[in-house]
Amino acid sequence: MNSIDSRMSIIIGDVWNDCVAVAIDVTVLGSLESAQADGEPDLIVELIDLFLKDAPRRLANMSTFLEDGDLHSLSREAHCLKGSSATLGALVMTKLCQAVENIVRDRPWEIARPLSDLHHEFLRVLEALSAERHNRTARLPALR
Amino acid sequence: MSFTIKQPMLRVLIADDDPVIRCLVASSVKRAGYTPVEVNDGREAYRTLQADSNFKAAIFDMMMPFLEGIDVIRHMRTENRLRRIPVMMITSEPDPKVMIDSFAAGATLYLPKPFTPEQLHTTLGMLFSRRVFA
Repeated sequence: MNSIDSRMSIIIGDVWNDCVAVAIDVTVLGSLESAQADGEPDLIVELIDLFLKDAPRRLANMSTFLEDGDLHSLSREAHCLKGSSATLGALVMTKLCQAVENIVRDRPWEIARPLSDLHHEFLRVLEALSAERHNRTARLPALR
Repeated sequence: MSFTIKQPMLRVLIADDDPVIRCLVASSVKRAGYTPVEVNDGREAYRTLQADSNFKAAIFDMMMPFLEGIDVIRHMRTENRLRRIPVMMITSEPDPKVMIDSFAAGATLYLPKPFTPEQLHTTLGMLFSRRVFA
C-alpha cells in the first residue's frame, strides 16, 4: 500500500467508524442560538430550512457533475456542503464531504463510493434535522 | 422632551453562495447592531460595490461562483472609494496558503470554517473596529 492508499484508508476508516455516531451533534447545533438576533425568527429553524433546501440541490448537482466528468465542479459543491454541514453539527457528513474532495484530488476513479455514502448520510441528517426542527417549533408557538 | 438621533446607515456587505453560512453571518451582524446586505456570489458583490460604497465592512467567502472573494478584495483595493472598507474572509479551505494570499490581496481579517458563533462575534467586533488606510 503506497502513502496515498494508506492515507485514504485512514480517511475512509474514520468516516466509517463515525457512522455509528449520531447524524447531528446537537451541542454544535444548539450553540448557534447565541447568534440569534432579537426580534427575528428562530435562527436554528431558519438554518435547518435553508440547509434542507440547499443540500439536496448540491447533491443532485454532484451526481450530474459526476455523469459529465466535471470533477472540479463536483469538488466545489462538496467543499460548500462541507462548510454548512459542519456549521449545523452534521459531523459525519462533513467528513464525507472532505473525503469526496480528497478523492477527487488523489484518486478520482474511486469517487462513486464516497459520493454514494454522502447521499446516504444526508438521509440520516435529513431525519435528524427534521426531528430537531419539529422539537423547536413545538416550543415556539409563533412558528406553528 | 426626547430627541431621536438618526444614526448613519451602518451596513455590512455579505457575499457567500452558501445560504446557511450567509444567514448565520447576517444574524450575527444584526445582533451586533449593523444592517446586513446579502448577495449570493462574488459577481453580485462586485456589482453592488460598483454602485454603492456605503458599507461599514464586508465579509466574503473565499470560494464563490463567477468571482472569488479574493478577486473582489483585489478590485476593492484598487479603488479609492472602496479601499477604506475592511474585509473579512471566511473559508473552509484548510490550506494556509489561502490565508497568506488573502492578506496579501488586502483582507483585513480571516476566519476559517467551521466557526462558533462566539468566534464569529469576536471577529466581527475586531472587523467593525478596524479601518483600512490606503
